Amino acid sequence: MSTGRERLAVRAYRAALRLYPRAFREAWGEPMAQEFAAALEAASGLDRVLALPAALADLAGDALARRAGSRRGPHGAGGGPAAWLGRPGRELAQAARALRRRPAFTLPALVTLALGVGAALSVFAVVDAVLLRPLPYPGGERLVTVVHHAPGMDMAELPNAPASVRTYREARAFDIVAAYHTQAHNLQGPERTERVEVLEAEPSLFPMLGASARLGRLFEEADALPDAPQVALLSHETWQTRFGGAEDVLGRSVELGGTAREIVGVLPAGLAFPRAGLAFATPYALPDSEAGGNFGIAMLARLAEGVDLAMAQREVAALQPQVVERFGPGVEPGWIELAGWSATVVSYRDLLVNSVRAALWLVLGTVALVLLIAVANVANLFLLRAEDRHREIAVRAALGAGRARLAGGFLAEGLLVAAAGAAAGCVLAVWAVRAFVVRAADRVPRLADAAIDGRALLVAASLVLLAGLLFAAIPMLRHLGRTFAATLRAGRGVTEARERLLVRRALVATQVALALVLLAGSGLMLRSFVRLRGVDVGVRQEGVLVASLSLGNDTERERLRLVSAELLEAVRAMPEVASAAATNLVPLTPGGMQGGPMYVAGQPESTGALERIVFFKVITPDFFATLDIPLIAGRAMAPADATASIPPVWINRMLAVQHFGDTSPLGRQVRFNDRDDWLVHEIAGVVGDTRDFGLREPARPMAFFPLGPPSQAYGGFSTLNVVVRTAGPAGAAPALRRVLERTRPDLPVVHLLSLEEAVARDMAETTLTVLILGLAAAAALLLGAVGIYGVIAYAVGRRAREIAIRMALGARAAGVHRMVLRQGMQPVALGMLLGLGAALLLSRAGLMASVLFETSARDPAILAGVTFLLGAVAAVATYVPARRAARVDPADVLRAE
Amino acid sequence: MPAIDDLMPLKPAWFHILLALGEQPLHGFGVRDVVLARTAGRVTLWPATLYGSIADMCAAALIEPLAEDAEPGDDARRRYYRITPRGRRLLRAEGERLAALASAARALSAPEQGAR
Repeated sequence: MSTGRERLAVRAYRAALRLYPRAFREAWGEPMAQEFAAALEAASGLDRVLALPAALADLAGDALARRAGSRRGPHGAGGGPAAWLGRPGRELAQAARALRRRPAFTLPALVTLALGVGAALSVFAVVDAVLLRPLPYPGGERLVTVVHHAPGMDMAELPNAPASVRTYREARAFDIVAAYHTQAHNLQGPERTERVEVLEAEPSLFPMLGASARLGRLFEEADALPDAPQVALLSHETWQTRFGGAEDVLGRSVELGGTAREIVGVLPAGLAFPRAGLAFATPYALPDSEAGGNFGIAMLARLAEGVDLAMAQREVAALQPQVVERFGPGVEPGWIELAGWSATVVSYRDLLVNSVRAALWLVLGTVALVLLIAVANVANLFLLRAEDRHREIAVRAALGAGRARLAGGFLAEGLLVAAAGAAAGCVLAVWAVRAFVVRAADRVPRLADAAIDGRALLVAASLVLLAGLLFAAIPMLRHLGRTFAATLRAGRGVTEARERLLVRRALVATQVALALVLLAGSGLMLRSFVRLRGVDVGVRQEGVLVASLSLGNDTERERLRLVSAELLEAVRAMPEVASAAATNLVPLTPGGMQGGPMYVAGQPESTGALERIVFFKVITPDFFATLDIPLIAGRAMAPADATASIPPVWINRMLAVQHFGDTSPLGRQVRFNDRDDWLVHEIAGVVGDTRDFGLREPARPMAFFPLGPPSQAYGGFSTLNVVVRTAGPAGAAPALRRVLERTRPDLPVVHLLSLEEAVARDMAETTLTVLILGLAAAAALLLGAVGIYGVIAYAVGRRAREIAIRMALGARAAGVHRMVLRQGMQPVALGMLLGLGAALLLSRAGLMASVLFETSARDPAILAGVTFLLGAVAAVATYVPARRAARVDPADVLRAE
Repeated sequence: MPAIDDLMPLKPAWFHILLALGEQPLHGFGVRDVVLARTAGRVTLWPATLYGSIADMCAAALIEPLAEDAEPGDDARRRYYRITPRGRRLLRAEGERLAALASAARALSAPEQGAR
């Protein structure tokens, strides 16, 4: 019975037969293939796994020799340069046979290497796809954007505003500048409304990306004019999935966000800009009003010919006064200094991957260390094997095998183990990368393209070569450096043994050092993880569900209030629901956050100091109660507040302290713009601080407005979030979705998740890093312990006679025990010192610090803790053989001699 | 055709094949099985070595196919081969050479046993 894998192996073998000259292949190819199939069927276990590589090596050697004509004469292995071509194949086949006969050596070596190579290769493939490969646009390395900073306003990074885009259009450093942004719109379908992501782009964007229409046309300048007909482009995927790839799709109409648009073209396949999954593109034009700088749009620019990043940076920096001037009359002189305003030109690729760069490099470094440890362990196995074989090698040498011949054998064995391990590692990596892409492609930019491709295989091949040479070098040094007769006659010399022990001790010290670095990294990540878990978000997360509904373009406030009232009434009627509220923003998700300065009536406007930005939330009355946000002062929000003549506002503790210090803010009147015609709000309450920007970000000053009354402070919003605290056990989510969909079928539920899930998502990157570093550290610890044990056990075995004599002469068991322990711990101590030094040195590189949370990269407690842990494990690994040594009966050992 | 002496030392695969065919005529697969059994599984003649050696040994007139009329390549797996008198001479000569070597090696390594 032949399985699919066997058929594949036989097919591979048949393909390899092409290596033979045609005449020979026609005469002998068929019986050889049949023979191979029969041998494969008869084999089992490890033999079966090794059958294909062994048979291929056998075939390649024979075929190459035949092509070189050396088999004309019967002396295959005889002299002549042509015979050399045949030899590698035979050496490989012989090595494969030898390895197959020693599964106790071969299996651990292959498994260790496969895991090491698999881990390293899969992470390399991810790093390559995400960080290293150029953008998939022609001239992609010239694509840049500008990021703005205003530390004086607590704004670390701002994208672009109409003011900045208009200014940069005039910059000589850029030859094209295009503004764009992505927006979710409701797509009116035949049956139900769906939420789709739309790229709104200035017409010049697509030519900059080198895109041409798959069908129809792309945007023209005229499409973005105010009174132009409404048009849309389809993404290739949308065209295929929603329109079945129909050629007559042009001219059809789609209703997108309440606007009917004519389809004028289809974007090319694979244009995942600015990320995958965008369904439509519509033309975009910069709004006329500058409105103090509405930093909600993105900008892509192309560096002009001959301009580099530094030159562009100089010009952009010099343009900042013009950018700020365009913000409008509200901006006084000196504002640039107060806000600490500046701008940085960033390559578009760097911008895309900034969020994951540090974590990825860290993980790559980690798996590279694990690979090193794995290689060191396999090298150790080769060393052991070299010991086992010294008699066999000497006999072979005596029977006429030359040094070159023996060296060839060692080389074949080393390369074969490295290649087989790496091949298995490649298979693991293919699987691991696929699994990772499926899970994380929506969170890690550019990840979708990650795969084990030619570049990854090239890395694997170099690893094979390096590791194979290392593995071969071990027995070569062991056996070929001395005369064989001496080995045969004299047995083992004392000096030699010492040298060998020295090599093994060096390997142990290296392993311990690497393990310590990994342990330190994972210890630090673990502490960050614990600290991050301990962050008080300011709300009680248990049992809270958040459902986000897409509102489309209907953002008229009174209608919003009615919609939310209707939804909340239906939700509150559910038996599982204890309380419910609505808001414009999901907790922990900063997207769509609006903000501005706050002015207090009767308080002199502080001159010389910059107004801090206050962030705005729109809520319904039960919001604080539902999330368990404490009301520190004032009254709770009531339904009547939605129609009050002086609209009330609630502020958080941070904002209260910032503006009012120790005095009570209750009843104070505030405006959210310094223009006199702006509405006055009255502060009705103070609530606890919440972390709305993610666990790693501190709480920010926040103002809460009741949904309904007019306020110029906040603009419209397109997502309404229904926040529900459930009463019973978990599992209310499906029921909640059903109720929402039944109540308002026209408002699609975009996501529905528990607050705990939202927190877990926010922590996902840290959790993943902790997991990977933890696994790597555990592997390092285990491999290190195995290595230490092996060395000590070997050393004790070699010295059994000496120890026996010492004990016969009166040495105490405890003394022997101590002596072995001391010698075992020497390389460990050296390795720990080296490892600590390396860990401290690496902490200066800052990579670790950038992924840690409230933890120093040189945290002394962690470093001391992992050193102690490693020392303890090493002590146990030494203790076992030391104890055995101390227990020997000297009479037994000496009698055996 | 090379002289018998020029064929020595004999390659291991050839030696094993001659040894197997020395007892009885066998087809290719049979040779493989006999060698595997004789060496307790230590020597596997993989297809390329097996048929490559058979092809070369036929050319060197050490072995020959049983059915003279069979075309080459006509299901060669089931074709039987037998050792030629010349092959038998070579097998004997190689056996003697190896025996001499083995006793030399034994003499070399003997002192080690007493050295301890």
